[in-house]
Amino acid sequence: MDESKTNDALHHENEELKRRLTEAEETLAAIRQGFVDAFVIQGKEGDQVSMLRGAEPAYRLLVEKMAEGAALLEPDGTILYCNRQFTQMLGLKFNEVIGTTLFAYIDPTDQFRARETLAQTAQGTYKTELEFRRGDGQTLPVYLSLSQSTSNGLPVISIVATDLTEHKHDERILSDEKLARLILDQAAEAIVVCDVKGFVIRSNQAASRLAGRALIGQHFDDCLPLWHAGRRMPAFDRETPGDIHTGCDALAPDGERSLDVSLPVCGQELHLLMSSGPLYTGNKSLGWVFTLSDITQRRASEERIRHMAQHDALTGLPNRMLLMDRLQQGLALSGRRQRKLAVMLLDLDRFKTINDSLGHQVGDVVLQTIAARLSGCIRQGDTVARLGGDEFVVLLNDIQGPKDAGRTALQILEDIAGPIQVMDHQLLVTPSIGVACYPADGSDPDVLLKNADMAMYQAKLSGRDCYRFYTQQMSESADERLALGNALRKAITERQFEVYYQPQVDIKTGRLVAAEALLRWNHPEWGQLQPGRFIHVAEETGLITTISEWVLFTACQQNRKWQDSGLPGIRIAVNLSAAQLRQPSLPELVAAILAETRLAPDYLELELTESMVMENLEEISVSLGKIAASGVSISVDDFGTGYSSLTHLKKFPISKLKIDKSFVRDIVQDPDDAAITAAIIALCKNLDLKVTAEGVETEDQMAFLRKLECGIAQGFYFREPLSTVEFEQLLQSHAANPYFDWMQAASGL
Amino acid sequence: MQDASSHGVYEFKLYIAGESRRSVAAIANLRKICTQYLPGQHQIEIIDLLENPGLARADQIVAIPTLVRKSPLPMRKVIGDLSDMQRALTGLDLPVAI
Repeated sequence: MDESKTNDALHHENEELKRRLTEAEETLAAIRQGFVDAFVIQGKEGDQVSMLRGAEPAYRLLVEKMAEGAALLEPDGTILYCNRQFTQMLGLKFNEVIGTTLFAYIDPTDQFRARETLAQTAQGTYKTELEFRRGDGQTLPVYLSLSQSTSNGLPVISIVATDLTEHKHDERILSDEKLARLILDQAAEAIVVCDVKGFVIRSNQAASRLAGRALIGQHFDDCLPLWHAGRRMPAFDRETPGDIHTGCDALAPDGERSLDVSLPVCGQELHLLMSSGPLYTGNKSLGWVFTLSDITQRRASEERIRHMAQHDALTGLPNRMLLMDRLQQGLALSGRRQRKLAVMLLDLDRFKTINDSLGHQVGDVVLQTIAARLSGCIRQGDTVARLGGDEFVVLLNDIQGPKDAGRTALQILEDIAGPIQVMDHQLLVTPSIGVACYPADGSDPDVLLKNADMAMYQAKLSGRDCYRFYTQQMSESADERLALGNALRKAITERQFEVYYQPQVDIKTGRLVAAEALLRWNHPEWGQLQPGRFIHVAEETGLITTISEWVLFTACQQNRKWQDSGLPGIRIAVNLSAAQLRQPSLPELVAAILAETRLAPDYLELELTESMVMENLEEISVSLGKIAASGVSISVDDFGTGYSSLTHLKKFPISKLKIDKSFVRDIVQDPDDAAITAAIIALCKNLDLKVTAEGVETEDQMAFLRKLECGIAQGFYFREPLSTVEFEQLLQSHAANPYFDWMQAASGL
Repeated sequence: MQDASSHGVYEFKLYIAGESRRSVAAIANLRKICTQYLPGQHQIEIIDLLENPGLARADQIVAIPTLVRKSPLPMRKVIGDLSDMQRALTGLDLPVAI
């Protein structure tokens, strides 16, 4: 059960990890392709948005400065971009306009004309007057000037809209030169214009900031010594002055217009995205324009995202990916230098309880605290990683031997043990640690982690808050479970199972009233096995359903055979497995078996345990209701060991409780057990339930139970579980003698 | 705007940063995708993280623009300005023949 739960949790964590990795990969790809231009940076003072410099193209400044409304459309009228003036004309917000169609804002009477105009614009430039329909329902007369151009190779239409209600725009017009200067200097990118030889003829303020001096008249490569791919890379070829292509082809060897370059500035390295283009007047080449955007921040963001993909967000520790990487490296290094290495897997004890009862926020603080304490326990060069959930791994490189790992493990147990204060709670958290060493316990990262996990599991079994080294034996017991599973499968096909019957006796009359059917496995080599040895493996492998169905059928069939041979009818109790109980078809299965074996339902009793009825209350109660209605009785086994209350159990159609043998065992010596047993018997009487005491072995126990007026008893005092043949003999002699004496009969056997 | 409670409505949250080039492109591209593939069955919420940076955490936004498909579940994210239509449609898992 627990194992499948952790498997589920692991599976879930893996999925989550995969999803986060995919997202990080996609983010990286989007950055590389330039599909994003801003980032959210998580800081101590909350989250902040960091824009990539160069995200604002220079034309934006021009367009925003315009007194006229301007917009860029697709040929079908979809608005790709517009300036503030345009949105004001429409009386809408920027975000509301982008991506919508222009026709939504054109007065119905002008719709046809507007569509005609747009269609005609495909052939050139077009001008028209029409009315906008604003967001507030008002109309606005505008003068539209449309022209066709291309953007990224696709046809687009640019619109300039002049508000005809205002005629103030004249005064806002700036002289061409002044505007050009303004745009150049406002641009976030460094813009440098050079003549054919590479001497700067014009540059903006951003370029001067980048170079740390004025550029006019100087050579581009003297002011901006660029590097590319680790090498100095001049923009101009001075060997052949005037041959502009040579220099600039070198800049963009693959024909790309932009190139990643770097520039040393004050001992730091700035990352720049550089694009270049020729300047022509007619056919005469004037020189070159360079645009340099600072993408240092983008680079830093990429680095940050790489860090994110390799680290756990909550604790900042390396995650599984980075751990595996380091483990691989560590193993390679240790292999070469013939050194040892230890992998410790650490799982917090009962951490789930903290999360469930105090909330994830408290749990998160605990994890962060543990992460910090763990990091304090290790040397530089070692690694603490969080695998997810409450699992941590400590990687110790270059150790002398297991003793070193043991010492560190003790240190960790000691350091983690201190109380953790979270809000009003003082929490004590302990870890269970499993240790696997290279080369003794494996030489592969996965094997080492698996073995450390096995050792950790052993530490949990040994009472937690301790560490265990991996041993060969652990693998063997895991192998043994596997072997057992295979043997079970074989047992089913080769009919190695057998049903035994243990009598249940009416304490008052001494009459045999019922029997419990018990499973035995006759293994050809291992001998006869009781369910305790193999039932957990049967549950893990799912074979339990087949096996318990077989027991149910065999017991019913046998009971009917005895009745057919003239023996007195007794009720036979069969244990239900949790897996069977969960099957909605259980009532039909029971009915089918009864029909096939022709056994009357009142000769069958189904036993369940307390813990089984605690889960899926509703479904189970419906299922059991159907079974009880058919006449089969239902009893609760091992009563007193679970946590169910009697009121709770009353929701089920239960007719009998069986007091667990652990109470009966010490009933004579232990006043507590006596009191509990007495209380259960009394309660059963009140609730009109029958009661059976299990595990009765001595005359003293019998006397005690008789005094408490317990109804039925079962145990070695009467008989151990008997084979079919033995039980048949018992039935026969019991039927023959109404004054059957159990003790005499036993000694006579 | 469509009725969010009605069945089969695609709910999108688009995280942008002011009027950056990619943000503007993302808005336009998202509206285009919706008009073309999800007419009458979509709802778009645009969240400007320059105004409200604190809202990034809810959907663990790192890079901007990022589009989040809130419904139908499972949630999906597409990072970038959606200019690669094919990638956007695949990323959003829209029931359209491409």
